[in-house]
Amino acid sequence: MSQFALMAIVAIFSSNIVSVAGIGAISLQAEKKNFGYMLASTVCVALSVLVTGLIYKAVDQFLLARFNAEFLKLFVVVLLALIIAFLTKALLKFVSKEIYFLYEKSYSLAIQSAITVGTMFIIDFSAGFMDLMFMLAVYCVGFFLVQIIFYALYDRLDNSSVLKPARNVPLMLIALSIVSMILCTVGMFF
Amino acid sequence: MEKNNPINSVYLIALALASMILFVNSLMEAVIFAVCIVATFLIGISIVSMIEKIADKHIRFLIYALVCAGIITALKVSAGYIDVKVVLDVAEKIEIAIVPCMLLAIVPIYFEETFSVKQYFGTSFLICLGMVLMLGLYGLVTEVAGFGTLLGKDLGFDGIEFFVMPYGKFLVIAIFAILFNIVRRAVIKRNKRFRTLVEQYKVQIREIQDTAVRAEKAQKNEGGDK
Repeated sequence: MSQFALMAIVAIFSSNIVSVAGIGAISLQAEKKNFGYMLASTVCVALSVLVTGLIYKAVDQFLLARFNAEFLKLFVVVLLALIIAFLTKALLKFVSKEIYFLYEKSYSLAIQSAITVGTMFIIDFSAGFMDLMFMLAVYCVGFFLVQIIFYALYDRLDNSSVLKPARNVPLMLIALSIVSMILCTVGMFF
Repeated sequence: MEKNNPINSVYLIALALASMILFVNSLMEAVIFAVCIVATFLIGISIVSMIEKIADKHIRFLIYALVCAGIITALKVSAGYIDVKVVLDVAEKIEIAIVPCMLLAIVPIYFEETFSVKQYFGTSFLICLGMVLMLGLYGLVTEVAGFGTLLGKDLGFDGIEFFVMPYGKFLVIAIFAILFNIVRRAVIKRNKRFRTLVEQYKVQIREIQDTAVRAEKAQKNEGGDK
C-alpha cells in the first residue's frame, strides 16, 4: 500500500469523519426525496467546498494577507460560499429539471452554504496548495461517506418503532455517534 | 409556527449545536457563544424582515448571511479590546457562530409564508430561547462530565473522556434533542387542546345566539298574527 493511500485512509477514518460529522450532520435535516436528489445535493456540497476552498486560498494569499485584512475571512468565505451555491443551483437547472425543482422548493441552498462555510473553518489554510487540495478532497470523501451511510438509514430510522420524540434527528445523531466511535477505533489501528 | 413549518425547530437547534461540537468545551464559552448567536440572529432577522415582500427567499437568505458575517466580524474585532481570557479565547473561533445563525434562520426565512410581525418575531424568540438553553446545558455537561470542572474550578475528579470526544458530544446533543422534543410536543398538545376548547365554546355561543334570534323572530311573528 502506498504511503499516499495510507495517509488518505488515516485522514478519512480519524480526523475527517469525526470533524466533518458535526458539519455534515446539518444535512440530516435536508429533505431526502430520492437517491438521485441526495447524490446531486451531495455533489453540489462537495463542489462548493472544493471551489470555495481553492478560491479562498488564492484570495487569502494574494489579497487579505498582503493588505493585513485577515479579519475579513468570514465575510469573504460567506460571500464565496453563497455565490457558488447560486452557481450550482444554476448548474442543476441544466442537468435535471426535476432535481432543480426539488432544490429550488426546499432549503438545500441554505444547508449547502452553511456546510461550506462550516467546513472552511475546520480547514487549515496556512498549509501549502497541494496539502490544501488533499484536505479538501478528504473532507469531501468523508462527507460523501456520511451521506451515503445515512441515506439508507434515513427512512428506516424515521419510521422505526421508538418513542415519537426520539425519531428522526435524535436517532440519527445517536447512530452518527456510534459510527464515529467505530471509525475512531478503526483509525487507531493505522 | 407549527402550522406551515415542516421542520421541527428542536431538530434544527440540535443540528446547529452539532456544528459547534469542536469549538465549545465549557459553560462560559457556551454562554458567550449563545449571546453572540442570539444577538446576530435577531439583528439579521430584523433587517431581513424589512424586505420580506420584495425579495425572494434565497436572496433574503443571502442578505441575512452577509449581515450576520458583518456582525460577527465586528464582534471579533471589538472582543480584542476586552481583556478577559475566556472572551479572547472565544473571539479566536467566533467565526463558527455563523453556521448556527444560518441554520436557525431557515425557519423564519423559508417557512413563514404569510408575514405577521407577531408570528415572525415570536418564532425567532422561541428559537433563540431553545438555542440558549440547549447550548448552556451542553456547555455545562461537557465541562462537568468531560473535564471535571465548573466555571474553571476543580470538582475533585478527572472527568470522563467519552464526553470530550465528538461521539460523546453527539450523544449528549441527541439526548437534549429528545428531552426538548418531549417538552415541545407537550406544549403543542396543550395549545391544541386549548384551541379545540375555544372552538367548541365559539360553536356553543353561536348556537345560543341563533336560538335566541329564532325565538325572538318567532315571538314577533306570533305578535303579528294576533
